[in-house]
Amino acid sequence: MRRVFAIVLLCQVMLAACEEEIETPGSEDFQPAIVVEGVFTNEIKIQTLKLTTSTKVNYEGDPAPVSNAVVNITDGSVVISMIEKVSGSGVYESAFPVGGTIGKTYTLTLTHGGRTYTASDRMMPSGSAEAVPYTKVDNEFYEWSVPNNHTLQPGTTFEWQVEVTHPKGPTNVVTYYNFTGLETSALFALNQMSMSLRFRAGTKIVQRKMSLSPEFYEYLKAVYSETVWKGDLYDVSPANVPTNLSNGAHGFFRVSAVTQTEQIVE
Amino acid sequence: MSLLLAFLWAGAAFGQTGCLSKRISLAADNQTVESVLQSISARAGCQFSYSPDVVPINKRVTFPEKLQSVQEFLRITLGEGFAYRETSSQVIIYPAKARRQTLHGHVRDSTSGEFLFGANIYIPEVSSGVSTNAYGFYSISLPAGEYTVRCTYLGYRTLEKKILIDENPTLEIILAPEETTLDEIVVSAASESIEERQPSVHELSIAQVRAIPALGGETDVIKTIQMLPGVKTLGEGSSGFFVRGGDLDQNLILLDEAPVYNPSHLLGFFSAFNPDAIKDVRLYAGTVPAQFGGRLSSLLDIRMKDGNFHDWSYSGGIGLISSRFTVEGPIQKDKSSVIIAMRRTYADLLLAAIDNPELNDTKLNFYDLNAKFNARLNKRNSIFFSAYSGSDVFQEKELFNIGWGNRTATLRWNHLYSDRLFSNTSLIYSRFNYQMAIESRQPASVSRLSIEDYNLKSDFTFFVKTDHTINFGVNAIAHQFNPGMLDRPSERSVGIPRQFAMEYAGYVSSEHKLERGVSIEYGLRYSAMQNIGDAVVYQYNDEHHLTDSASYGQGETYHMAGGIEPRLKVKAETTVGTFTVGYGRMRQYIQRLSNYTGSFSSPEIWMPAGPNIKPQISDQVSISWSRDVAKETVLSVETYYKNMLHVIDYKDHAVLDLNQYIEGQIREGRGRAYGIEMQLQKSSGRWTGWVSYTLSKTEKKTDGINDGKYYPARYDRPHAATIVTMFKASDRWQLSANWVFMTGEAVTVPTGSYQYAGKTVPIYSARNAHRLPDYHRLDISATLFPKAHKQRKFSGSWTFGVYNAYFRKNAFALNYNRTVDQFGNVIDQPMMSGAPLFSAHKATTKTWLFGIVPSVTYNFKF
Repeated sequence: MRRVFAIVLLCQVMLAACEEEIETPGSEDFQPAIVVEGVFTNEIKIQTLKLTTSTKVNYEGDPAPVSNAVVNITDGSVVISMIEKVSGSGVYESAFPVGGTIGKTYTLTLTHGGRTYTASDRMMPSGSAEAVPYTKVDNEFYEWSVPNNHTLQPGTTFEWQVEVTHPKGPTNVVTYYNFTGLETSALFALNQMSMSLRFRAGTKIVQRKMSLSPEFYEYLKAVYSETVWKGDLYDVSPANVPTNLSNGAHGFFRVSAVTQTEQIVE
Repeated sequence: MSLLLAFLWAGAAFGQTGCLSKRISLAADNQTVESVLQSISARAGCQFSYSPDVVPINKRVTFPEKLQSVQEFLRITLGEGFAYRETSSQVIIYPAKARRQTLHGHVRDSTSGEFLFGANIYIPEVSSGVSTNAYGFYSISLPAGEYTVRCTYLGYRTLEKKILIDENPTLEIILAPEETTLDEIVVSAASESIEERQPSVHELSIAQVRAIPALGGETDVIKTIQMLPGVKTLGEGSSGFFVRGGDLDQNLILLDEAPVYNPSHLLGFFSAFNPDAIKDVRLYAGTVPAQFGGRLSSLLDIRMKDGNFHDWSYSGGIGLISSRFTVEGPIQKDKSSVIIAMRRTYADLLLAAIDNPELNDTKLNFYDLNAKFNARLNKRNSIFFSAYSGSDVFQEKELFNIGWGNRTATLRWNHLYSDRLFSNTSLIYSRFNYQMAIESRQPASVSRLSIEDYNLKSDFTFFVKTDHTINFGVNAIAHQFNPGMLDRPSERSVGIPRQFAMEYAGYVSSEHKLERGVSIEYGLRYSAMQNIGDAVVYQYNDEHHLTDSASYGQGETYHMAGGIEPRLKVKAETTVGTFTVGYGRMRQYIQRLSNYTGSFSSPEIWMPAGPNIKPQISDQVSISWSRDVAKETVLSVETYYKNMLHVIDYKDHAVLDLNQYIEGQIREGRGRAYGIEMQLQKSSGRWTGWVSYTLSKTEKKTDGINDGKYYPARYDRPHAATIVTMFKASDRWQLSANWVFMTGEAVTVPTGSYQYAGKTVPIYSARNAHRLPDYHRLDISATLFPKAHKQRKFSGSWTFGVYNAYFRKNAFALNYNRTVDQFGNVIDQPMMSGAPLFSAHKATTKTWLFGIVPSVTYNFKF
């Protein structure tokens, strides 16, 4: 349910409401900046990080990758170098499988175009995870629904990724969060509700439960306020989302612990 | 007069003490005073000294022969009003200092008996006058004698009457409305000369409000207020208003003295006030009288009708949005009356009729009910009881159910302690509640917010002299705040605990009319807020992080704040116009917390000042000039500067709802507003209306926001112009039009964006650094009154209106990354993988709400 609906509702009665193109105000103020997107986890694997540049409003196409940057991640004692393996991709990978340690703080240092950017985040525990609770719909299908994604218990906010793959079918991935407290904006993001997946026996379900630091949680909420929840009935005043990056860069260098479960639907 | 005193020798008597007590025998038969004095002098041997200019020597008197003292003979010969003083050689006769008498009474409407607030009583002989108070009462203190009383009131015929003032007479003045075809539609005003006008105070009769075209044909008090200089609005069709840089919650909106916390209906598009129940409206935009306080920026004082004291009458209207019905009449003729006014919209019925299942499941409606009872118990006592109840429902079946409403009740007792001391004591109740049920969540949960007040106040007016009035009073308000609580089945409720606070105030003010057209009003108000437990008070450090908490028991005071609020207004009438200088300090102890961009219909959290929220303070200085430039046409110019402290803003993406740590989300800053307002107003004749222009600036500065630099408030709209005009084309046709222009509202716009986790995250400009396109609009209406028919009691009129007559597409919101085809049409389906479909491209669009909105309304009365 979007504010547009409320508006249209009235306009149906009042013979009104429409939308038309106008010139974009403020576009002259645009200044490109580096954007960091990446999660450093405790899983022993090739860790990746993506660097792009910000774009003008209404930009069509993919953002330009940032190449030739010097990227390091450190916990204060060990330095992990991140290398752009495919030149021009903007994707930087660790040279070998590596994982972080719960409780430690990791710092990203990025140098590009003569400027250096830094960001730090702490790896919070992800705890245990129950198997995905699906139910049988009929003789053929099973179903799993995204649970009520709100919790009132502080410190229990996680990102959940549920990957559903049937041997003879495509893979579906659902990502959701359980937000701490009650976000009115989220409550009224009615288009986000009642998400469910149906699948057959033999389907493999992989669930990843990822921890969020308090700073990333604030970032995540802000991103949702400015994207998914934008235009809802209870829209909040616009504002820049926070970042843990210095020197005018955008995005977030995130550190998360991961708890993974796997199951086969039987 | 003493210079004119001439000594006349009345006879050849010799000086003698004790002359006045001498007893003589004397009769007079149509003799002049002069000859009687000579007779007394001859018989008593007294020598009189007096001025023939003072003593009516040619007046003839007759009395039978009596034996009595000289003083008694002097009294029956000269009458009252003279004093005598014996010296060693003579008796001096001189005018006694006249004892002042108090003329007092009420001013009422001749057709309904309604009290008229603000009627002017002017005494030409002394070049002075007073205005009636909110209860139609006036009192003038004058020396005994014969005077002319001239009474004027907007929309009424001027009354002039000779009256002999002695022994504190009562004069009940009945004013007749100016003649029109339909007496409820009065657009012309009675003479309102400059000396009666108050700068920064806008008075509107409900007749004026009715005459102005309105959205959907719904006569709206607040929409009319929005067209006054110094008043701004946001969005399209919103019933919110901003006065001289003040925020929404800085307006004190009173309905019969009871605060109305959310004056809106139907998602904020219409105001909560039924025009059929309203008598008059006053907006104080500048210095507010010391009697009032509690908000920083303005006072909107709305008075309900008292009800018809003479006859039962019925009136109503049928419009496209809502219908109204009002019944009023005397319970005991001329002594007590009652009025009940109802209004209900039928948007829900229309939605149900539309062939669209989604809309059929939508409820969107409001109702309101006004009721008032008055009784004049005796000459010195009257009681009034008025009540209001309004409620809105916005429901989408199985998704959500939102409701909000106001309830007020006012019980007032007017008492006249003497002819010069008037009092009003009121017990006032007010409540605003908001609730939203999320029915799509299982289990369903309901969030509730409210503010509830009990207010006891007593106001006194002491009419010291014609040119001096003193007002004083006290009041105490018990506030109960429910800033948000979520009730969940089978689980404990969560949210922000209830809070209690007492707000106290006492004031004294004085109005002096000095010589040479100078008048001065000065007053002092002291106000305070007392926070009372039980409560858990959280403590925050300078970074607004929670550090500790403290618990307080029930009834325990845990915080006090208060201070004085001086008010001053000096007015000087000169040959080049009237100049006024005003200053006022205001304190505000309660605030509405909301960072939603919508209007009044979003959740409104009301919180008291306390340990973590300082009371807001404003200081405003204003200077005005006004002058009659033609008959009944006044040009006024006013400039102001307002400084505001501890004004509220929020951290970016603040979470307010149900957040028990809400005070950590608040940021306090300062604000400044300044501007110049010009208005040319014509108040009577076939053409009436006004032209106004305002040039203004409103900025805020808050640590942690906009890098600590000043930024424009959203409602900062530097240029605003209004033309409001009403034309009486004939006895049956009245035409009206208004044109509004405002600089586009200040907005924070994205100047770029970036991709993160598949989402396009906007990068914003500085706070409110850009503007929506300028706003302008023309509304027109025509009203057809029935033919005059004295025998027929039923009468009806048709009003035809067009809102936004030239189809201006005023931007309500901006949308980004919209897919638009080569013809500029918005395509609902998003582009696939960034590849344009045909020649479609991503663009910024504006949403506009209202095209040309025609309306028709039928009003009737019988």
